[in-house]
Amino acid sequence: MKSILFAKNIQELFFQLKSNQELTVVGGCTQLDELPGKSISTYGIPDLSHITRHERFLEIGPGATLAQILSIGQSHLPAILYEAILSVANPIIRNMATIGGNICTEGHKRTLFAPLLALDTKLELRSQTETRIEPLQTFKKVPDGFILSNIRIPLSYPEVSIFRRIGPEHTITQHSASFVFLGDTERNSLVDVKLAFAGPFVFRSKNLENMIIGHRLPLTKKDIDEIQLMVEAEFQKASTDQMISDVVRQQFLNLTRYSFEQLT
Amino acid sequence: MNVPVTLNGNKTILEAPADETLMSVLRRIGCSSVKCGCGQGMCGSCTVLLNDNPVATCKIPLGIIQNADIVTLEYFERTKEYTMIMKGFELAGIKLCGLCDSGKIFSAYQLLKLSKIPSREEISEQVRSLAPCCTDMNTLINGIILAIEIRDKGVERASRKAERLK
Repeated sequence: MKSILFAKNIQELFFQLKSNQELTVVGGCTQLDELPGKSISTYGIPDLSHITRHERFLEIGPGATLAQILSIGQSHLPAILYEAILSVANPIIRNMATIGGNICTEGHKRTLFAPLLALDTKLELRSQTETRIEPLQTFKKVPDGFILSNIRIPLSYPEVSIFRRIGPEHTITQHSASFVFLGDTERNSLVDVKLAFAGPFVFRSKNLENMIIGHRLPLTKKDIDEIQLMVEAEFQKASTDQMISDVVRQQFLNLTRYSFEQLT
Repeated sequence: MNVPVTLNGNKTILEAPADETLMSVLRRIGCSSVKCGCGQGMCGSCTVLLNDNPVATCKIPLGIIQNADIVTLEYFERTKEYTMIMKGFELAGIKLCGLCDSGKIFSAYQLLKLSKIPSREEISEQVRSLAPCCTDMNTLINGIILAIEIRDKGVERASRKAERLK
């Protein structure tokens, strides 16, 4: 027998978490085939559904629905985030699906993970007595007794901004993944690069990005071949054959090449 | 589990297992406008308004919607927005089949609620995954454009626009 508990506010949520050891926090439940035995939803808790736009970053509560985020408007959101949210299911699902649910799903990473990773998103995790800030890059799961209470997304508008969803359009399968490339240039050189992939596993390498930054523009075919080899080696290190199919790996490499070709 | 909600304007308690979908609960209590289509939240046949937003009830467990305001198509038919949408659909030549009504009408309602006039692309994005059982995409988009025209400029202007869209 499944049970779902209800909290009107964040204090009640903490109280329920403290009183029920095996409680799982869920969002809008749109991607769950089966509910955990005992759960509590962040959907509709006002303290966890805020969206605040600051000059340099956005603060979003995990219970905010994807439709609420889209309603900020295309020009007020980073392009890759807007595109990524639009690629999630359809409007009647986005009215219910929450950003927290998209981030916290264990196992196969959902569509928004790569864009948020590329944007250097930070997560605020709260317990009754402690608040921790954790970069999305190192985030594995919400620790016991904690909840995801805030998602801080830096606002960046790079010159080249590419998001692609890999795999079937409306559902998440083992072939689903998302790819993001962000690139900024100044005085004919590449001053910032961010390359992120999330699906069966998560890939972002700051070492690799640092090796690529500084290349003179326009990139030549030789430059792109060299970069491609570096990316391939790093990606290979991060993945294993069990984790990712050859098709998805090749799609990632093709998209990487395509992204750098935009800088020729 | 007992879940207090406001269903079609009446405060009521829905009684069902927490993980039962809202779709099956609503169908069991006689809301026949809620249809079982794809079961994946894509076709729109099971759409209702939840807190004034259209949602796919086949993907929502009953337990998470405590105190929510639910409106099904049966109740929505009394509103002026429904009249505008149906008139817009009529001018576009749309005859709904019954299976897909709630998805198409509530999707049109979400666009009608916007203060701006949505572009053809935005309307297409809103309706592209809905079941195409009785209406092609272009005609459906025309129907929604005409409903918005009725909201803003009245039936007469919308009729003239319908002639131009044909």
